[in-house]
Amino acid sequence: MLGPRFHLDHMFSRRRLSAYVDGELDPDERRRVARHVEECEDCGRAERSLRRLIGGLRLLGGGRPPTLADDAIERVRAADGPAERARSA
Amino acid sequence: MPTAPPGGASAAKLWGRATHGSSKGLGSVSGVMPHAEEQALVARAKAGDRHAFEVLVRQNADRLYAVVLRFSRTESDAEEAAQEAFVRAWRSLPRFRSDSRFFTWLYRIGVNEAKRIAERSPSAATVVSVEERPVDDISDDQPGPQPRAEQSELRDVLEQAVRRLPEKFRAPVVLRDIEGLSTTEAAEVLGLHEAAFKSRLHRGRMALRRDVANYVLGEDVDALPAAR
Repeated sequence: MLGPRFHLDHMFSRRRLSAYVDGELDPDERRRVARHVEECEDCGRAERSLRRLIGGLRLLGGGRPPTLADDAIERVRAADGPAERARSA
Repeated sequence: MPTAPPGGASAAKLWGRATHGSSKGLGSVSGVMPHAEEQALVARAKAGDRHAFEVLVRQNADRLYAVVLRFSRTESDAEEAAQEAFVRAWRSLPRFRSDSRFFTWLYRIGVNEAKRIAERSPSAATVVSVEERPVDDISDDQPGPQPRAEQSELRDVLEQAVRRLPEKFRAPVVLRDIEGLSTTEAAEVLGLHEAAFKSRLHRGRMALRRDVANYVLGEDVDALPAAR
């Protein structure tokens, strides 16, 4: 039988799962969410999924064009800047 | 009706192998420059100092590319959008209000440029394939051929899911989870209060979870609550 505390903790924890896995809750909040994800099958599963999802998203980093900044600077050098545009206005 | 994961590997094994050793914020970009330092550079650039603007370009180029890539059809479109955004920013610098973060302004220019380029070539493929990206930098433990293929497949699934996110959730997920900025940094460069940023990030992650649940997380999507 799930009591009112469980339901209150459930609502509290669901909104904070991301902050929980990011380690951004204060100690009292963290303890409350940690207890709930142990008790609640849905929230425990969601917590594990979020951790795996975030681990997977890290794979998408990198792969940038190595000369992007240099190429952008070349184009900026060829363009009128604020001073030139002010003079020609 | 849940869809079966492609390939023969179970979703959980696929996920575990493909992300093994990936916990160190891979591919993350450099940290966020202190606002006061950035304001000083912007002031010099507004006065016509190209060198100051070039420092801003170098500071923001990778991060801008990471965001506009998720609004572009191809990697070359993303590169074009990022470069053009810097040119437009340079020309429009007098209109930039220095009390905002430079990236907040720049990324909006970049996203608009990416959309403009995408509209110009509507027949191009909708989603960039990441198949050809080098994977050597992904893990300290170099995977063998099969894990590499799984990693590539996993990245494609996730990349497409990120691109399907509603716009307001996309940049928070890109900056926080793909680029590895802290919550404080990512909220700051997007010009959001941390509470608003956290809410968008959470909703974006939950939407992603729902989107990839069947395939990569081994969950029954029909049993999940709506993303909130």
